[in-house]
Amino acid sequence: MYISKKTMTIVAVVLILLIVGGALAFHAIFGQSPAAPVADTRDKLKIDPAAGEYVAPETTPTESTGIAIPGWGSMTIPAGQTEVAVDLPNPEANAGKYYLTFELRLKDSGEVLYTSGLVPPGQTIQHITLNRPLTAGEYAAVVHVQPYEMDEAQTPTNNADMETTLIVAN
Amino acid sequence: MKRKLIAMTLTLALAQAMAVPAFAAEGTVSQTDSSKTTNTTVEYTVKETYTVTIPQSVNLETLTHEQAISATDVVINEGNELKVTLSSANYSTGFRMKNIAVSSVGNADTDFLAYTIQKGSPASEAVTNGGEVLTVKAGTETGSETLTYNTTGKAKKAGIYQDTLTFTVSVDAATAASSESV
Repeated sequence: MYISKKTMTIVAVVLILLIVGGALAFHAIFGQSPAAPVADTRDKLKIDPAAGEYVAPETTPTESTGIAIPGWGSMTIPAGQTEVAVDLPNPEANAGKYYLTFELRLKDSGEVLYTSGLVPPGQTIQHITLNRPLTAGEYAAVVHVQPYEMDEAQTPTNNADMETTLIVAN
Repeated sequence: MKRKLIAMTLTLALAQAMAVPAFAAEGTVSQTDSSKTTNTTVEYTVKETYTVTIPQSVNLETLTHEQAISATDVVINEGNELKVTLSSANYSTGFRMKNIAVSSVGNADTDFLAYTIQKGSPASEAVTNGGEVLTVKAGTETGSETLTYNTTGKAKKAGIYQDTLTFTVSVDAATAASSESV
């Protein structure tokens, strides 16, 4: 079949256009070549040198915040009297840290025989007035010691029940 | 004769006044005793006393926290031992800290944060409510123990959680099973 020169020219131009167009489309769809340098004016983020795996904080030795509480094997008071001599001290070791209060109770009934106010460190209560006199005998008793921080709020802390024997003698 | 009689009477009276009765007093040695030694009893009563140092509060700002409990100047009768136990008013099925913002009894699911207490260094033995934490026998002036606190579970509300422990101290007859604390 005879194809004219003009027709061949037109076909060639069309083919060329198709090839070039296809190449452009391919480039547009699949992006630039990774090797192609791109001008990036941003400062890239870097990993913080302080970052690392989590390490649990070490438990440091506890400072001496302990509260010194006195204890008594027994207390002897006279029978039939409410004004009695005792020794309810706040040890000097609590200086600057804790007041103490004392509450004397009968262990079996929980009856409160005496309640003190705040006793500063290094001081003691030596005379108390019982709520009622006791008859002669030995009584299981508890001195409930409640410490308070020596701050504005007088925050109560852990406390102690000091078991003792109340000897009531004629 | 009359004068002689008066003189004799006066002499006898004077002689009697000079006679010193010899009492058989305790601790007395007289010149005529065959043994020149005697005994006097000296007595001084030492009362039972001691000082126990308890932790101020339960502080769990770090995941674990150690506190010490100790007894010093322990002077108690032979055969006795000083015993310290601890308990908590918030205790339920275990130790719990309560959110201090809650003034009522509190909701067991949302207002409490559970924690454990162990004694020993390193921590080895679980402490129960009313359980013993320190024992010191007579003749041993001091004793101490380390208490370690650990939170368990997760708090459901933010805030400050606290618990107050009561340490009960008693002096009782030593038991065969009890051991000294180091």
